Amino acid sequence: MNMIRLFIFLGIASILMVVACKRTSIEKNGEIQPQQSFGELKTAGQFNWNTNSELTLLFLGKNNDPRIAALKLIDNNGRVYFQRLQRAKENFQTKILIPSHVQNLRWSFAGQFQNFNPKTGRIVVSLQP
Amino acid sequence: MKNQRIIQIFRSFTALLLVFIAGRAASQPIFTDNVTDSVSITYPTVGASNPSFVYTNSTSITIKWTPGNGSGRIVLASTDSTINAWPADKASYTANATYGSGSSIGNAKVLYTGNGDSVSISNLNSNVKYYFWIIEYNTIGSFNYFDTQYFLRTSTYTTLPDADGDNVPDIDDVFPSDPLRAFVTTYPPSGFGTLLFEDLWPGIGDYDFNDLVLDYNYSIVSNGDNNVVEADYTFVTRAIGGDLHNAFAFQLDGVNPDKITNVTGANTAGVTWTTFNPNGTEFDQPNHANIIVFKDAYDLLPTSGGYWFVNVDPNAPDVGTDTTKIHLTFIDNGTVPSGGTVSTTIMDAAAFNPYIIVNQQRGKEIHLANKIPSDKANLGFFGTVNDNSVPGIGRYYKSHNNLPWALDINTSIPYTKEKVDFLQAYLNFSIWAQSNGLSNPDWYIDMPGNRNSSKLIIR
Repeated sequence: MNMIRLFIFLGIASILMVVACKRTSIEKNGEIQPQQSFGELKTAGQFNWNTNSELTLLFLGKNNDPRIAALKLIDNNGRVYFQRLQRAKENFQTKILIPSHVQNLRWSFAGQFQNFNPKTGRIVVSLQP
Repeated sequence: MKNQRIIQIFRSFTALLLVFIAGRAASQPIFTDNVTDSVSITYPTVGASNPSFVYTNSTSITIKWTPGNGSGRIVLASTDSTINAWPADKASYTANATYGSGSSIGNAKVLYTGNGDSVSISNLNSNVKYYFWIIEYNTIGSFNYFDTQYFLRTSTYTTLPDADGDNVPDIDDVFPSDPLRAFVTTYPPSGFGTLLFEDLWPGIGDYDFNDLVLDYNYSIVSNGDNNVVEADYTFVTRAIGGDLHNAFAFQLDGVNPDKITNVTGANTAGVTWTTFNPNGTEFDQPNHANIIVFKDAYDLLPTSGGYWFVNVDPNAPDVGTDTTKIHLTFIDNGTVPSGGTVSTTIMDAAAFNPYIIVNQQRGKEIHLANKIPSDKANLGFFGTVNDNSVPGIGRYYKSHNNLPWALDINTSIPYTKEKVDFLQAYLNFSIWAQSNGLSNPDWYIDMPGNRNSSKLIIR
């Protein structure tokens, strides 16, 4: 019985050592270490290799507001990342791909605007008081 | 003495009566002009209600309302949310529906007096919020008596100018005189993106990601209904680092081919391994429109100087690049195709699904990681050799180690020299990848520490 326990213990210990060694090849002192060969990369299964980040845009309209204008997401250089014709009285939601290196964007609608950081993953444009 | 007392009592009574009358006048609803000739005034007790607006253009609107119980009503307007004066009983005002031309009452303008239920106002400023007061009055004799207690206050914005009437304000309309077009959205927002392929799928290659290198961008023109009108795709073939004669195509995920009227510009002359619909999309792709951009990269960039590959060896002649422009017509001069319209929310950046057809073997497609194959893909390749695609869970074109066969960079970047591992050229790529995209998300930007230029073809 004791031998069985010993084998189980050694088995678990071996697995943990292998896992620890594998982890060490990616992380050292808590930091991810660069690899020299593409084939050595270890990534999570859900990683999609996308250089864009997903941003959820939620527009909250206001009843009886007749305005119709372009809802835009632009950067400091005037580059447009998203635009559509939006009725002020209607709500709207969509997901937009924003290049990962972009750190500042501005939404604008009918003369209103506000800067935001797209890395938050979500922006709410609300006309409601 | 007695008469004097009677006179004194009468004067006191008269004085009390005047005080009483003055008090009633202040609190309404009875007003008496003088002691000897009193007139009973009844003020309206039900205000106007149910306001609504008709927006004629950006400077003209019509207000409609349900009248109250006055014999008439005065309409005031202001850009201020409160008014600092009220119409005075018995005063005379000039109404004019041309904003600013009527009498002023404090900070408000008089637009209308009468017994109707609407007024059409002009000379407003566009995109401005206006406040309106509709105040009932009763006319007694030649004077109006205003009910400043039960009035209707409402407000609205005026719209923005729209010359072509497509509901898109001129300030936002790229085509202000074309009612069929309004917006142009370009991806990437400026310049080009880069697509990099390894072409030995389902086996792994040398990971130099230069077997086929293309830059791309596209512009989507949409209308005032947020539907796609047309789209222009530009593909710049830059390098071929493999000996397979690959074709290049893209799929529009979620866009049915019968929603496209016409495709032009493809380099597909002489192709024998597929056929096309009359609109130029690939035949037998029932779910998603597929566009074959070119049938063989070597048709566009032939080898030169005795080298096997094109533009991946710095010692080889620079063959240059080839630009292929594809134009997709969706709504043709206002005519919607048989399949209906495509919303811009459907045809966003995520819908663009580029891929190569390996050595023109039609069923052998290589897409970006987790992008869905076309209906012509041979699913028998999945799960073979190094591929670990699992269609049932939406996992495509990933190896057992989750490695991809294609990369899409959102800006144009240099590609690696032949046989140079991608990690040797892009020094922070591995940290980005192994952190699942959290660290060094700007690994592809030309910043100190990101690149080893000696490993790259930079032209």
